[in-house]
Amino acid sequence: MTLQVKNLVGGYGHLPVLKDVSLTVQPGQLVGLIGLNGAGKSTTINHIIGLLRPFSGEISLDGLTITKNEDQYKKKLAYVPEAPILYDELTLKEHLEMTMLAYDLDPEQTWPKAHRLLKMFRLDNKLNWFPAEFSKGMKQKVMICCAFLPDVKLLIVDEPFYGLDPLAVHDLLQLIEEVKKKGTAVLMSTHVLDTAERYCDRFVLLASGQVRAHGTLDELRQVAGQPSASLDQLYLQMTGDGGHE
Amino acid sequence: MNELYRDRREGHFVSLLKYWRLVFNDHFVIALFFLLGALAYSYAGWLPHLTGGEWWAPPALAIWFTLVAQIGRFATLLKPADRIFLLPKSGQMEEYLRGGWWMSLLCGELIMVAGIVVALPMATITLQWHGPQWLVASAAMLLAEANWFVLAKDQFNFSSRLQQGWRHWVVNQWVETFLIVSASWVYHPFWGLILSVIFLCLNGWAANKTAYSLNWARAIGAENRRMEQLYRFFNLFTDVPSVAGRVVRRRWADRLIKKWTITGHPWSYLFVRGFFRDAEMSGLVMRLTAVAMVVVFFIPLGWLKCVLSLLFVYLLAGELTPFYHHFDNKAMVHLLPVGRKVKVTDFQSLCRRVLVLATCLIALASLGNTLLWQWAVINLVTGLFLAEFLVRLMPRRWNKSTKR
Repeated sequence: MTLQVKNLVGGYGHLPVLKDVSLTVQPGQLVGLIGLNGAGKSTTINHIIGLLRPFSGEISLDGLTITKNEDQYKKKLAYVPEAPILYDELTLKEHLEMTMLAYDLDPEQTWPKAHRLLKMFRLDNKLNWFPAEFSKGMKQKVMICCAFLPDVKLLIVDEPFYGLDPLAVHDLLQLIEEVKKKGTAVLMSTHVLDTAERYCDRFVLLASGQVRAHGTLDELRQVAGQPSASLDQLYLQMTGDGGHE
Repeated sequence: MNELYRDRREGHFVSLLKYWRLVFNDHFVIALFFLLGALAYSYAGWLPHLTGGEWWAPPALAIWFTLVAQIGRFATLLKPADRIFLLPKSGQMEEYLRGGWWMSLLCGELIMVAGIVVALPMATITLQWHGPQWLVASAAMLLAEANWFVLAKDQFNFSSRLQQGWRHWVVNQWVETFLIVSASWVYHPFWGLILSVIFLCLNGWAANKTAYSLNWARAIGAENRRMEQLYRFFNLFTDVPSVAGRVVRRRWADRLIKKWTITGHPWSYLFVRGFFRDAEMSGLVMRLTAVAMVVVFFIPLGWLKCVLSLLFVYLLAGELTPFYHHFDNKAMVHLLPVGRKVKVTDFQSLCRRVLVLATCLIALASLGNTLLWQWAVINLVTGLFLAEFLVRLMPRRWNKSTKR
């Protein structure tokens, strides 16, 4: 069992956004976190990465919890945020070095991997560039390179496709496939449902802070009683009656 | 982590130094010199009038020191990207914060020392202290400041008992400080010292008892607000690129806006609204006028009131002048079918009104508690003349800046 979220109630301040959310992500699995704007996807992710503390419920990663083993827990995960956040004063090369420092990675062993990632995202000739010189898509590629640098147990990707060109989307999905094969669990929040349908192994449908449905595409079809429906159709049906609260 | 903090601190100081050099330019140093000199002179003149046992002195001192203690800020130097890149190092962030905490405490204590130096002459006279009480009271104030910073660090700890909403630590920082300073100045400095030691030990013990788990969102939010306040201060003197203009509705000014707008003049329409609703510009003019009124009210010498009134009118005109270019980067205004001449006269009309209003208020305040009406009239007349002169001089200053 990699990530386990049990009966999570949480939110910002005293306002509960998530109501009894439970989900699991197994090693080597890509789970799509699907929901409308304001459904609670980013809040769920913020709780998992430890930026918010649950009001009640438990989150564990390989049996470790954030309250008891904070450092070990956080070293086991990497995160690509929805909007790229970079240091204005650091070059691309220095961002990668910073990631190596944070995860205690050996630079000599890690740089070949970094170069491969940079080449894949066509950033290998921009090592000395500052974030101000990058487009939004390029900044997102930097975030992706940094997140894929360490070998982690859980990779969290929040709306990764915004601002990326089609080639970069393809490369990102290929990378996710690679880390899945190595046994990494991946949780991806997205609105791009046709891509999610093709690549995700399982889905968690969130609406108004609650899990409406979860399982494989076939399991969702069974629940909805539509054996040939696409994820798009299932999503509209399942969130349409309560998602706009 | 210590190295990272040291690097950031150096970078922070270099960037602050750059701005401080711009703040302490010739004009500002002269104004500051006059202002501090005038305040010190009035304070020194006021002290001999005080007698022992003034009823208002202890509560005034309690309020003064409670406020002085709130000026300090915990400078963590955290950046928004830290919550992504330093996430795996969350457990070691206490080590990183330690350097910032000591540096912030030092700055806070220096501010407190300045507060003590200002208040002690008045305190020793009104409280009729002859022994070493002032030393005990000063120690209590310094410990109260240290207690404030212990609470400031604790508010970023997820595991802290103070994480149950913002009211908790705000109340603690205000109430505990107020209790210590009240005990010191209203009862006896010894009680203040005892109370400050108790609070410091209790809060220090409670903070060390729990493992430190950084609340990234709160810590980064607080640091962003601190830097924004700092940049807004620098922005009063020079252009700070990271400060975006803040717009405030100011509904109370609607009638004045309508009255000051010249009918059929688009530039007047824009400038008047821009002036009132741009929080930086109107806020600066209001603050500067308020400070001028307070200063000239308390200065006992007529000629000094006059010099300072004129100095403030000059400063106000100086701050208003660059507002002429406020809309220059808006493509829309370059399409206005109105010539530059009208833009100039419309802007001058706004400045004239603002300066006349400010001059009247400053002249009124210069009456002071001694009602020196002759000097108030002189201040009004000379101020209005200077305002008109400076408004007519503005186009030359714009031409000079565009040539440069």
